[in-house]
Amino acid sequence: MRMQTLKASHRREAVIGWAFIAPQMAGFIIFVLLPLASVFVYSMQEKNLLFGTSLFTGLENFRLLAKDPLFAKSLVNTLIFSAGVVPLNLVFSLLLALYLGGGRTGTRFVRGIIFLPVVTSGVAWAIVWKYLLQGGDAGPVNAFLSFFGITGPNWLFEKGWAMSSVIVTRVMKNLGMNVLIFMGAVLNMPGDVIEAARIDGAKRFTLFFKIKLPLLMPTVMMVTIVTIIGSMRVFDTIKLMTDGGPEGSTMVMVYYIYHQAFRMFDTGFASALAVVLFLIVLLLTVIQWVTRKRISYYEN
Amino acid sequence: MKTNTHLKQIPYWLLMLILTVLFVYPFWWMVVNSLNVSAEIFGAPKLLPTSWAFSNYRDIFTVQPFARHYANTLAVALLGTFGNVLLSALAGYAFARMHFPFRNAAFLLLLTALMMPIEVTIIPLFFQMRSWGAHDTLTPLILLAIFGSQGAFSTFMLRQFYVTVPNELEEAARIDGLNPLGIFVRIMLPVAVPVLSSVAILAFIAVWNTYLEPLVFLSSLEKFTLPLSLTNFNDTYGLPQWHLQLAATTLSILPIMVVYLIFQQKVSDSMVNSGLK
Amino acid sequence: MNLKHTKGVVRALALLLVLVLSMPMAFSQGTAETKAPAGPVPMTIATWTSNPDQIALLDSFVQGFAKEKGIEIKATFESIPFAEYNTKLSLELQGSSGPDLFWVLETAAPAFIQSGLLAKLNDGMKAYDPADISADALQLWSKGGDVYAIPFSTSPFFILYNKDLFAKAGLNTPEQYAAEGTWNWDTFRTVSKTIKDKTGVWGFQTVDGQGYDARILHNLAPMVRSYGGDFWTDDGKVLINSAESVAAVTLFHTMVYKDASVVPPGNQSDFFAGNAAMTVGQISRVSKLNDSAFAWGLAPMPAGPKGESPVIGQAAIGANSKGRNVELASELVGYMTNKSSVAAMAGIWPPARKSVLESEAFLASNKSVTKEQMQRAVADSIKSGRVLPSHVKYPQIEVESKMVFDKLWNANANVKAILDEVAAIYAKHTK
Repeated sequence: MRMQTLKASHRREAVIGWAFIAPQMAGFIIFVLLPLASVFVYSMQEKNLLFGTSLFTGLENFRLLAKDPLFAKSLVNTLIFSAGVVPLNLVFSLLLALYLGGGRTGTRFVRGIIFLPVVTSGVAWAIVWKYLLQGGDAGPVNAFLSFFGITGPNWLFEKGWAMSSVIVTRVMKNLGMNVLIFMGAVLNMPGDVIEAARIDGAKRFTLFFKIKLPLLMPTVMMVTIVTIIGSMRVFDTIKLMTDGGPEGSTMVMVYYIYHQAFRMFDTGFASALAVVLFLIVLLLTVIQWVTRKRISYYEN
Repeated sequence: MKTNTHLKQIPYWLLMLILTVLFVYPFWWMVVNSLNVSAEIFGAPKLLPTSWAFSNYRDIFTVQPFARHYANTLAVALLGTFGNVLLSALAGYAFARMHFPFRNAAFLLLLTALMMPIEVTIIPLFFQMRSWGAHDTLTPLILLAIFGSQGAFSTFMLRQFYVTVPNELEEAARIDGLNPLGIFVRIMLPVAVPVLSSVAILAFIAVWNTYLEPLVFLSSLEKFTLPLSLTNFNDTYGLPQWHLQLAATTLSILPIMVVYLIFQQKVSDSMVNSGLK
Repeated sequence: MNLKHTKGVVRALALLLVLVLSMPMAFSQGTAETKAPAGPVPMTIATWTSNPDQIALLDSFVQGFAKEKGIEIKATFESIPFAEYNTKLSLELQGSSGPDLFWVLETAAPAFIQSGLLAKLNDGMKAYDPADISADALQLWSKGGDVYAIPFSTSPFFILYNKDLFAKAGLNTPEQYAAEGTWNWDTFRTVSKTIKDKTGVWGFQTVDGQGYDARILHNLAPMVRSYGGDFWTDDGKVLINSAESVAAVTLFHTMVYKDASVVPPGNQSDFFAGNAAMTVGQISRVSKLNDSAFAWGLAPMPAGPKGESPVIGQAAIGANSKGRNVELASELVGYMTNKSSVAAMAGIWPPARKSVLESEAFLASNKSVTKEQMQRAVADSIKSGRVLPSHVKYPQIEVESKMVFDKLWNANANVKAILDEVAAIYAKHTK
């Protein structure tokens, strides 16, 4: 009798559970999983958007991909971009969170303005900065620099500077979000441990590296992964500020996919690119899951 | 002693100054130049508008159906946010408090959706929407707002929250005779209001600002959303009309800014207490 | 808590799911496959202009056609922004509800013809004196004896200049130089530099400010060709790195980086706002100067060592081969490019019809332009000008070569080496 009731109640709970997650999961299956499967299928076709053709070609797209210099470039650029954005973002937001967490005058004000770019649309931010970064002395940034006697380069049209400009504007846009998250983590740090260390005579540096950082590690890990993955979403910035140039130096993976699919009309090849991007993201997700488990284990 | 503390203050105030310039100037510049005529925008940057061309704000409505674009974006953001919050609350609660087979597997799957850049699935989605006859409509935008990575994110946030809710609440409700839906609506939703509001705000902002999805799914001018609209203040041959573009940009940012500045405390508190550990 | 309750819960949630999913469906105001009502025939026409006067003009043609046919037509104009025109249009044409008529850019002509998206117009245009349309103009739009689109605009690019700035710098105007026969690239370079030095205003802005990216061929072609060079030819020769081409591109490079008289990449200074003394434009841009704060004029492109070689931009109208009313649409295309329509459009979009081009009315068709200017900068240029090179693989060529052209835009660029790279790309695709 008891066994039956147990099973029945489990079954009930299972059905209810499924019912609750059904809408979200149904949508997820239709709009994420199914398209994902399709991407794999398309990647094995020669599929032209303009001509409407759709021909099975097996691994041909991947073979072309391996030989494509622009693919290699976009991969490298994506790496460079993430390698630029993530450390800058993390370091600055962490430092700002620690520095401003003290509740001094003006902290609220800074918290407010730092978050402004976060709520601004990427399009608006890109438009404004495209203008501000004009070359010669037409752009306010260069006008400002000339004050100090520095001749600024043509930021968005010179090879190295274009990528740097995109990185910096992107960091500025998302900094605020991480600052707030870190502030939360900082507030939640066990005060007594820190006090104890300080009483023991720990100096600023040691205090930071030996005590505070380890305490913040879980948050730092989480934010790092989220920022890395978020750093892939730079489509609007690239499209509006540099269009992949100059010389393809800002052509990142996500932009290359759009470019191949909607400018060159080669959706088969673009899908192959999407497959690669997906695998990269999957790898990062797995890494995050594993390190998270490790860190929590370490904590315990 | 006093000089010491004063000296210590200098780097602090210097930082304040730098941050203010970096983060406020772009907006200041934008608003100032939105009130200038095209010719004035170029040349030495000034701190105040010179032409006070309020007509810019009138012209943006005649050059493009800007009001319509605003309405489109509002509709998509509101409907998307509503669906997003509702469904992710349901799912988040279930993932946190209920036991059912494949729960962990499903949650992991959801996490993949969270991490997935839209660029990976946009091509098949394009074909899918077109075969449904939904090309050049607002439907795909709303659906993606609810079920895309933003949906996964909201579900994740709510699950994290619901994990921390004490069991006693549910037990008490169950004793009172409420069925699961009742428990959810009467107890679980109200108790999650702070998290629900921050999830809603974040979702709203994200949907308001999406650019790739409207770019791919929309083609006729009347259906445009704000991000597309902003980049379209060009004359017939593609030359940007800066004075109009800046006025439109200012206008598009304004409501979000206002909402943010009013709810700023709430937003930052919820970010701070999001328990994102 | 029993089974009945659970069922209720499940049902409630199912209902919720249906409601939520159907809500956005209510929004899809597009593409419903409704039966065509017995009323006016709907026609959608896609263009890249959003100028209300131009659209009204086009609509008047549609109504004229409807009257002639004795039917009612309701025309809907879809303006797709220029920058994304090809992409958006191709996407729409793939679906079941694409536009019935659409404008086609000359650079996309081969690709569109190849794609099968354009309906054959031979029958549709029969009634409208097809022999009157210049064979040269039609060349790009025909294949194997079939006409796939009819050009409605054969518009040369010419120099627009700011009279006030020239006066301020104490110089003759380009028109005066042209009348004397001394309007060549050396003069062009000198006046640009003089204006920049004397007034501080840029001497020259590239065409639509896009001469370094979207319109790089438009920018370089007049110089390159008037020096005797070219890009690639229809019979597979690649000439972009010939000595003449290199000389021409070097001249431009020098003007940008040594003389500093040309608006550089990324700089948004605009001729129409008075921030540059000269630019390149077509007759359709002239309307932008109606409210200008300065006096202006137009002159032909400067001549090179091998003479003048103006660039002609073409635009054509085609009919959607998958449209609902292909036959009617084809005839409408013929009507919209017949003598009276073309004459009505001549002031904005110079005609490809010989009868109209050679008429007096054409020279007087634009109120802001004098007859002499029209003759010299437009009519004569149509005779001696050429369209830009085109190719089925134009999108790929454009994109790949742009990345190499980008290297030109810094002070230390090795023009010859860069053009050699471009030549390799052209060769790869045009073989």
